[in-house]
Amino acid sequence: MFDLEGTVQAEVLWADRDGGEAKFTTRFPFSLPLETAFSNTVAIVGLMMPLSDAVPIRITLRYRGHEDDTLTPGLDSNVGRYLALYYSNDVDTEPVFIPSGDLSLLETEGSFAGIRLDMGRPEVVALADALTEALNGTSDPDGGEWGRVLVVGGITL
Amino acid sequence: MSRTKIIRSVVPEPPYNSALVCIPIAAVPFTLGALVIKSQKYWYASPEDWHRGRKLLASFGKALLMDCAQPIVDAIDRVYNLLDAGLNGTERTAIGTGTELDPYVYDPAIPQVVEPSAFGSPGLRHYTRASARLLDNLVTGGTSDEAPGEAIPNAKLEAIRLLLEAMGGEDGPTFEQVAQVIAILGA
Repeated sequence: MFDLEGTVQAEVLWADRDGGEAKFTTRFPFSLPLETAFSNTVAIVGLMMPLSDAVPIRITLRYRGHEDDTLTPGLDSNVGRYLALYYSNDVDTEPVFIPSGDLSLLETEGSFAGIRLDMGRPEVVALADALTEALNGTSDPDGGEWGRVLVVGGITL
Repeated sequence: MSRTKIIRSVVPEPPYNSALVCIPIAAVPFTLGALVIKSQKYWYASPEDWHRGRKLLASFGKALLMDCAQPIVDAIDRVYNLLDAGLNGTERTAIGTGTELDPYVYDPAIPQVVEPSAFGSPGLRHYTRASARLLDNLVTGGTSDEAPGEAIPNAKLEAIRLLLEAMGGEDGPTFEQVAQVIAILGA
């Protein structure tokens, strides 16, 4: 479905004393293992530091793929809206946003018709399970362990 | 040229209190959209405030989509019906699916105040009242709708006891004494 691009892009974000930020970018061959690409980037950052009085604050590795044969977006498609999926555990809630959520996936009856995600739809169940499985064992941006299930979802406007 | 001053938010530490509030459901998607914008790092005074803010707004977004109040009201109605049927014997039917467009409708309607005299059979209150009247009948010898037959009051039983005491002897009761017992019982 997607073609992998041949290079991995390594981005290093640097910060100055006034809170300003600037990005340094380098590349590696796609065949390089992730851990090696990361450690190589760290090594490069270490060699850059004597040449700069700013400080590195973040490394981002981008493995990219692109789609040549793109489909035609739906008539109602609009990336300005999202389908917000709320995953919860006993401690907190983590949202997952799907750009331009399909309006036909929303409830059609009741008070929340046209607003709330129909949790009974098989495509919703499939995605919810896949995300839970894929994210299990990872951390959310706040450092919380991912161990959540989809509780509810709705459209944002 | 004026520049807008952005006030970056400081987010309080948990725990957070909650309250049950009413909101227009039509406002939910717009509110969710606003929460997405406000969840961005830009609006917060520090990364820690941003993290707390994200979590707080995510829990709020989830709550906006969970209509907790109406199910609570419906549950209270169900408990009322259970008690009304058990205590008063009220038989009630309900139609609807419990949504805003198709709410539960009870027949007969749930009254604001229960009629004190509406103790239909076979409710617990009916049986309790009937039992009390039956006991009352035993003492007074009276009758009631719940106990239409005449009971044997204590006074009659006492008279029979005294008579049986007086019958002591080897020959047993005489015909006249048995006739007296029957007369006391009213047969």
